[in-house]
Amino acid sequence: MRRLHVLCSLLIACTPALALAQAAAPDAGAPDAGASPEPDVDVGEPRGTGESETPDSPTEPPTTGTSQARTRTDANDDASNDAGNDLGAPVLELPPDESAGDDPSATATIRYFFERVRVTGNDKTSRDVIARYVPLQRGDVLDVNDPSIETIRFRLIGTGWFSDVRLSLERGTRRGWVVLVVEVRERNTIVVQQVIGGLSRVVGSRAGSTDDTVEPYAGLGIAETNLLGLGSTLGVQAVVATSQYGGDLRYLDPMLLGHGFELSTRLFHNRAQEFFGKEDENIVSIGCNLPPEAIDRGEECPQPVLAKAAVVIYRRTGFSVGTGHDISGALRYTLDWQGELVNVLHKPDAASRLRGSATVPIDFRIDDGHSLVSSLQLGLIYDRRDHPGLTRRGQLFSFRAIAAPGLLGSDYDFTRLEFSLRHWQPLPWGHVVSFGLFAGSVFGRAPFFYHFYASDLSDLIPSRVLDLNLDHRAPHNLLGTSIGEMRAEELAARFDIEYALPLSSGGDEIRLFDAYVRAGIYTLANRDDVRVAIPGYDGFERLPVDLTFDIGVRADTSVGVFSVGFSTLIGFLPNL
Amino acid sequence: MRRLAPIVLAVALLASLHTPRAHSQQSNVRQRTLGVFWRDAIPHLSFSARDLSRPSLTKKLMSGLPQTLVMHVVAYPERRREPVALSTTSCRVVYDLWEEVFRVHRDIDGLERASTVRTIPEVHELCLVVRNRPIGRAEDYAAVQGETVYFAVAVEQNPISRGTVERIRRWLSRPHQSGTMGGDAFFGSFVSVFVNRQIGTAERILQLRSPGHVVP
Repeated sequence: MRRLHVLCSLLIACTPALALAQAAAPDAGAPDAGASPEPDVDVGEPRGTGESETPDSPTEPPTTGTSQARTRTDANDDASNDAGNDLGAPVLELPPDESAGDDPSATATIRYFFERVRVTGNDKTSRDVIARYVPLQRGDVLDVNDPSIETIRFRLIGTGWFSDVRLSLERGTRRGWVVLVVEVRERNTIVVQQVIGGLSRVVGSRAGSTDDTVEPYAGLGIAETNLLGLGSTLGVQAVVATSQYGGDLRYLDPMLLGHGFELSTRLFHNRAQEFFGKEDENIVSIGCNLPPEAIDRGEECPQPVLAKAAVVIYRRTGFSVGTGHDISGALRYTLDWQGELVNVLHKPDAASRLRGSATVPIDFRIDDGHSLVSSLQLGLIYDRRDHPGLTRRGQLFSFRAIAAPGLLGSDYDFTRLEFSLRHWQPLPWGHVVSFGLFAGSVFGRAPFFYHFYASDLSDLIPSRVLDLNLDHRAPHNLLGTSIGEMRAEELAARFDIEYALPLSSGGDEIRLFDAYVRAGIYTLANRDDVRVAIPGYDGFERLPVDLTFDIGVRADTSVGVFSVGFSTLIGFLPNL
Repeated sequence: MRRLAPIVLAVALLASLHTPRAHSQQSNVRQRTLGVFWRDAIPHLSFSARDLSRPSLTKKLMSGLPQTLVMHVVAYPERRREPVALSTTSCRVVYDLWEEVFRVHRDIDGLERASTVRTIPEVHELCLVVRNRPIGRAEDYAAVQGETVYFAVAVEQNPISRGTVERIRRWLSRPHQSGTMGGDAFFGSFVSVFVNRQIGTAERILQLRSPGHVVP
C-alpha cells in the first residue's frame, strides 16, 4: 500500500524577504560595494563641513549652521595620533556634545493637536478602512512618545494587506496642529491558504465485498483577505474524494462591530459517508432502503451500501455567525452560533459488530431523515508563541466548548468540551523541544461527527478535513490494546513530545528550515468503556491507548510556511 | 516490538541530520578598519556608521515621530565565542515640526545626554559617529592579554522588541487559525500559516567588524 498525504500552505504573492532577512545578512544596510566608493575609515566630517553634504531629502529642514562649539582637547590629540596607526588619517575629536552639558529643552515632551489622517499609497484599500486603525479624533492631543502611535503601524501590518506601512507627521493648518500621514504599500491579498492531496483507504466500493480500496482526495482553500478594499476576508475551501465532498464559504470583517469586535460568518455543505464498525466483522441486516420513487428513477444503491458495509451516507448543510475579540495581546475569545441541517440519505436499518469478544449493535448516533443541530460555540485562545509556523519558544492554549441544547432548537442535546496546551522550550544547543497535551469529552447525545476520531489523535491516519472523515481505518494499535475497537468516541486525550532540529536559517528564499520528530500516546474511549471494560481484553490490553509518531520538515520560505509530515506514509507500511 | 522499528529508524535518521550550526554567520560580516587606540589597557574606538544613512533614514528622521538608533560595540577574543566587553549607545531622535529642530536623547552606556540640533548631519554626528569611545574596563581585558581581539559593531534602526515581533506574527496567522479546514492544527502533520516577511527585528541593521588587535 502506498499513500501520499501532502498539505501545504503558500502565498501567491511572494513578498521579498526584507527586514528580518536583512538582520541575518551580514552586510545588510551597507552601501552597494560598486556604487559607494566610501572609504573604509570614516571618522566623521568636521563640524561645519558636514553641512555641505547633499541633503538626503528635499524636505530636509534648513541647515542654519552648527549650534554647538567644537571642542578639542589634548587627550583627543593624543588619541588622534595613536589611533592614526589604524586610521591613516588621524583626525580624531571628542564629539563636542559628549563633553557639553545637557540641553533641557531637548527632553521636553513634544505634543501636538491632531487634525486628521492622510493616507497615501492605497490604490485598493479604502481610506476609511485604514483610518479605523487610528484611535484619534480631531482635537485630541497627540503625544509623539505615546506607544499607541507606533501600534497603529504594527496593527496595519498585522492585517496582511500591506507589504509596508510608514507613519509620519506633517504640519497642520494651524500652528501646533499636525496631520498623521499613513503611507502604505499594498500587496496581493489573494492567498492560497491550503492545498491538500493524498490517498486514503475507503470501504467497500465493489458490490458484495467489504474489501477496502485506496482512493484519492484533493482539497484547496483560497481567500481574498481584503475584499473590495474594505478590509474583510472572503474565503472558499473545498475538498473532494471519490465518494464524498465538502465546501465552505467564509466571510470575516475584523472591525465591523467596532471596538475590536469582528464579525465572522460561515456557510458550509458536506456530502459525506461514514463507516462504522470493523472492516470485515460487521453484520448489516438491511443494506439499502431506497424509496420506491428513487428505484423508479433508476437510482441504485451506492456501492458501499451494496457491499453491505455499515455506512451512513448523509448531507450536512450549515451556517454560522459569530464574533471574536482580543482580551489582551495574547488572549482572545470567539463566540459563534452554528445551525445545521443533517439529511441522512442511506443508513442500515440495523447492524452489529464484534466488539472484543461480544457482538454488539452499532449505534449510528444520527437521526433518520432530516435533523437539526443548533449550537453555541465558545473559544478561548492564549497564544504566546514567538512564531506561529516554526515556533521556538512560547505557549499556545486553546479551549473550546460547544453546547447544543434543545433550547436552541437542536434535535440533539449535547455538550462537547476540549482543551489543548502546547509549550515550546528552546534548548541551550539550539534545538527545540515541545510538549503537547489534549483532552476532550462529549456529553449527551451528539451526532457522530461531533465525536473524537482516531484520525484526530493519530498522526498515522489522515486527519479529518472540513469534518469529512477521509480514511476509515481504525487506530494502528501498536501496543495491542482495546484501542483497536475505537473510531469515533466520546472521550479523548493525548500527550506528545516533539523534538525539532533547526537545520538552517538566514537564507533569502528559505529563512528557517527545521526537521522534527514527534511521538505521543493517546487514548480514545466511550464513557461506558471506562465503567465496564470491553470483553475479551485482559490486563493492560483493557486500557485503550496507542502510540503515534510523526517525522517531517518545516520551512519558512519566501512564499509562506510549509510543513510536510511523513507519518501518514509510514502509516501505510504493511506491518504497522 | 517489530512495529516500533520505524520509530527507532525515524529518530536515528533525524539524529543523523543534525549538523552543528557553527557561528559561521560571524565570518560573513564585512570587515572594516576602525580607529583603535589603547589607553590605560582600555581600547578606545573611533569610527563612523554613516553607512546607515540613506534617504529613507533622512525621511524617517524628518517624520516628526521618534526614531531610535542603537549601536552595539562588542569586543570578542579571536578564538573564543564569549565577548569580553560591550558598549551600547541608544539615540532617540524626534523632529519638532513647528520649532524645526531635532531633539536628540542619547544613552551612552547608561550616561544620558540630551541635545537640540538643527540639521541632519548634526544628528548623524551625534548618533552614528563614535569618537574615542572606551569599550569596557581594563579588567575585562586582563584575561586576554597578549591575545587578539576584534570589535563587532551592529547599528540598528528602530529595533523592534521581540514581543512586538511575536505579536504581529500572531495577528498575521489568526485568519488561518479560525478555519476548520485542517482543523487539526494541534495534531496534524501540517501547519498552515503565512508570515509577513516585512516583520523583522529592526528596520535596518548595519553590521561590521574590525581586524584583529593584540591586547597590550
